[in-house]
Amino acid sequence: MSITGRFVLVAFLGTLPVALYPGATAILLWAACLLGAATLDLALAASPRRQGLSRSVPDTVRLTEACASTLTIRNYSRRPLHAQVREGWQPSAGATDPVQRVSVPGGESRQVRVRMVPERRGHLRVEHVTIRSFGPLGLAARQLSIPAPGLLRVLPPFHSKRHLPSKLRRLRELDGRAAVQIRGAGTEFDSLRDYVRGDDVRSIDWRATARRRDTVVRTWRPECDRRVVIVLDTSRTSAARINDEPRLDTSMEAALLLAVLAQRGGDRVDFLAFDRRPRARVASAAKGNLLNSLVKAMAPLEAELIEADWSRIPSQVRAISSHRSLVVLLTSLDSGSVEEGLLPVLAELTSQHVVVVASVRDPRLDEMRAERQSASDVYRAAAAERALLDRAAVKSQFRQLGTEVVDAPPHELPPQLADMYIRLKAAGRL
Amino acid sequence: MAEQLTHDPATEVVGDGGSASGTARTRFRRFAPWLALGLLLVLVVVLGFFGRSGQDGTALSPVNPAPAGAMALAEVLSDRGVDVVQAESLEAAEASVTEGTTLLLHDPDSWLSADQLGQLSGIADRLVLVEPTTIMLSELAPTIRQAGLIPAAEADVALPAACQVTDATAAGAITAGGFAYRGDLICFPPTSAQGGPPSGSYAATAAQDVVALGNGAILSNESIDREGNAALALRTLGATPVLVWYQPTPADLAPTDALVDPLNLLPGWVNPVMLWLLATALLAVLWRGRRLGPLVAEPLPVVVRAAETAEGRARLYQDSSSLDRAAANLRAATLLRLALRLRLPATSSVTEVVDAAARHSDRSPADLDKLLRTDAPATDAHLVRWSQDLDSLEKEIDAR
Repeated sequence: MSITGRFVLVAFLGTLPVALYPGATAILLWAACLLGAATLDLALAASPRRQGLSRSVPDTVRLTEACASTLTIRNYSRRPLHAQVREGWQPSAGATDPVQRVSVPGGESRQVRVRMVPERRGHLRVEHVTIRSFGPLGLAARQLSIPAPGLLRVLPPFHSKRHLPSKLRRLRELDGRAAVQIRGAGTEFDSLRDYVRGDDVRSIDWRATARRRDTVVRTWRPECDRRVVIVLDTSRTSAARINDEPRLDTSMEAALLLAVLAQRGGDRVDFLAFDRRPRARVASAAKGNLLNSLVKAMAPLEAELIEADWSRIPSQVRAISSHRSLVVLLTSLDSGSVEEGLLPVLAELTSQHVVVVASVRDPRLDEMRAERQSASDVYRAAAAERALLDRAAVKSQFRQLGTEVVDAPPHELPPQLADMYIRLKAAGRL
Repeated sequence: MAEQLTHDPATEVVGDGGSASGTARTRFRRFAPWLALGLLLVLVVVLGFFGRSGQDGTALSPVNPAPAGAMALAEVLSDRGVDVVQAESLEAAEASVTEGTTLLLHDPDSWLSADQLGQLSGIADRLVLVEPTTIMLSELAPTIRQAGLIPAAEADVALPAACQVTDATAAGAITAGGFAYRGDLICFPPTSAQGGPPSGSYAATAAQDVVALGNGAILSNESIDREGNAALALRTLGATPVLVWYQPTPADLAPTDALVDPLNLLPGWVNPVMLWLLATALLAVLWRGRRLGPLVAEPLPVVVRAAETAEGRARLYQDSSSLDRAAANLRAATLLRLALRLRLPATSSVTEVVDAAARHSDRSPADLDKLLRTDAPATDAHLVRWSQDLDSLEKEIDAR
């Protein structure tokens, strides 16, 4: 139970009779009146135990998009319910109006809509609904918290979607559909078409030209149905924040853009989130929309505070694809952990697959490097230079192993990884 | 927003599966330890308050067992058949005095006025004044007069009786301290007395019906067992069947002297209204303090700033003044970038980079060699200047 502001106000008004008739009698009398009125009010309030609650929450919502959860209250008692209803969403669900007033006549039902703008990716929960049912006098209320769990899946926002049209256009340029064909863009024969000025003369098909009056060139299209395996590192290094976004989330953006692009390019995309054991898997063979299943698989992923076990990656990749594939490792290039974990494994991977290591580069390091005003600035610049040098060393080690490296600041990483894919495809290395 | 809706029983939750009394029971069980603790606290406070009122902390009180009290003396006297009566007020003291009574008066704070003291004059068979003031003496024993202090330096020295009063000679000696008096009979003179009229720690009228004890400490629990204190105290106070022990309190102040309590000037309704407002404030606390449902926990993610390791390393460099290491880092990074910018292979030596840089900037090869190869900063200020120079060189070459 609880009392209301009106109750306190009425109690305050009691100051007047107490002042006019000072003494214990006035105080006790007024207190008794208050107590009686509150008890009556409580007795007449609709019972919060006799309210049926059902909630409908949208299945999924993208981060930064608004949504609404609807709570239906059905009043099973005969008394009308005048209540304050609070939905106990966790704070990051961003409920704008979790506390609402509602009146439900006896035997009827009403809806309470709570608008939400989630602030975090992942599974956001609501555990209970609290009903504070006021009596007809509005002096006192019965209050009850009813366990009514609910779940909202907040998907990664996929901001890098905006890069998709331009990258798709570049991908199509590789295809025979583009006017100017570049030889070497693929090995698979696509079609014959008339020669246009600017075409590579080496691609002229002389036999077809002989049959026809015009010069005819062959076009190729890049290989299709190649396999792309995206491995997302969810170990401790992915928890680090760069530009106030965890490395994990930036990597997800890059993975999503690459996956969609590769799928449009006719390749088969597999996704694996891994630290010491697989956290999520999306297989290319699965039915339905790839993007949809990807974001659903990514939604609950959190950075685990454990070291990644890279030695298990080759067998995981082999389990996904026994053929030569493009393996994209989304991880970090921090010298210590990489030298011990990833480097020994890369040799094994590159012997079988084309490997790309993609990592978010911290723009803060470049800022620190450039600032040289005071002694502490210079020491910081020196430390940043050391970190960047270590990074450069790791990158060159990777390149010596035949691995491609994409190292870019958060906003650049998704498009640069997409560019890398297009470049590899154009070079026929897939 | 509210609207009519169809009923979906499949996912509906009704109530929390408990009842109002169940909730009340759970709440009670949860708060019971705190409630018990609160009650205990109240009990301790109440007990402390009332427990203390049984004994008072006044010095030389017959019911005070503390070192400054005189409970030991009072107990011994009652054991020996003396009826020790503690008088709470002047009236009580007067009423308690009967045939065969000794009245002990101890009023160090002079609560009694001269008139009130006059009422006590001659009513008892024997009057024992403990550390009397001049007013008390002039009202009750005009023949006894104050004769100054017995110095504290003599506190450890025993004063011999040096007189013919039987009580005093029986005691032999008492501890020194307190005041000295002059009177018809004087005992225990201070040892340092130099000429002048004789004075002593014990003075009495010729008839021994009024006795002034200059040192109240001889009655106290702390020093009753030293020297002949006990003997003197018991003999002085235990001569009659009844001993009235009177220590005036502020309540004994003459009515005309009583201060008017300023609160009494307020109208009668102020106190009830204050009480009621206090109750209302408590209600307001309850109103605002009641939360609408339990707190909801947020599983917080780990926050690790990626540049934190670099910042930490920077502080290590600075704290250990690793000038050479910092300089080496800056130099290596600049050389690497210059090599890249000047299209030199990554494996090229420093001198090659210096030569190439000299060709691409206005600086002399010697200057550049000093900057890029030989210069080793020895102080922080030097390091800052040198690193800024490196930076400007890079910008210079980038700009060309």
